[in-house]
Amino acid sequence: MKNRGLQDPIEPEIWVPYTVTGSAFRGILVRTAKEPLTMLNAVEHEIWATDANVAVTLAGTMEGYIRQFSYAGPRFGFLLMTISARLDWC
Amino acid sequence: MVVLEVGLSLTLLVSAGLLMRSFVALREVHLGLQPDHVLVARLPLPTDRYKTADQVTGFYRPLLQRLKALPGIVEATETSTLPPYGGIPSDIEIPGKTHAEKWNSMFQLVSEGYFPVLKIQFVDGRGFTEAEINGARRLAIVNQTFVKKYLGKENPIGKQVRIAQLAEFEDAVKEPMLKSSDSWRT
Repeated sequence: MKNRGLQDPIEPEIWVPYTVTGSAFRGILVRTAKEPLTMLNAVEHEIWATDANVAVTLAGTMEGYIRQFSYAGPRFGFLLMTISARLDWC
Repeated sequence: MVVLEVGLSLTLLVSAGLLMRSFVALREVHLGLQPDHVLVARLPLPTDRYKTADQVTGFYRPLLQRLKALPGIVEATETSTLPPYGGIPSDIEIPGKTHAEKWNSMFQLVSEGYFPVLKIQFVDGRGFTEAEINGARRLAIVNQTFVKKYLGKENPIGKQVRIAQLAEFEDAVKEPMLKSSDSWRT
């Protein structure tokens, strides 16, 4: 499994039960039967039913984050080059 | 002048083509997980009420049960990092192994739903059970790169590994459930 983004080589990785420490940032991953964002309100409702004072940040789809973190840069570079070439040609 | 402009245009077009090829190659990278139909969220817990492992577990255990009971939810897990973008870095030690340089690995804090949520396939062994997670068992699962780099052709199942950063975490919260000398079974 990739663990340093899409381009860098895979590094050694260990998975450990989260219950062994109270430290470190935390979050959730939820697999849904249908479009994930349609479940966001229901998921947030359950989070706040568990503790109303917990903030929910960076909520979105995993595919969306991969697009944002890994595809957006190269895609922007490609568009920029294409536009520059066309402008220069004209 | 025209020759210069044509040359520049061709250079830019070739560059755009190369970037497109890189982009297409990036889209075809095998992640080793299935990111479709996965919702992610970061939940920064109030540090005044969530300092210890028991307190953090006291939030996530009922939350995960609630989420799993929701219609339309297939599986849910706690995670310390958004895959496939890194983990918590740490020096490590494997009892019985001597080495001049420091050994290190990233690690993730997860619950039993992690591997099913991401549909990660196991080469050998199995994932965590709910009882192991709830019991805060000192168990570990390692990736193939870890095995190749630190164990070679040895079977990782039954081996032990010390994660230095984990001991530092426990010191930081004044509740050292684990000492740095404690070991983990892979």
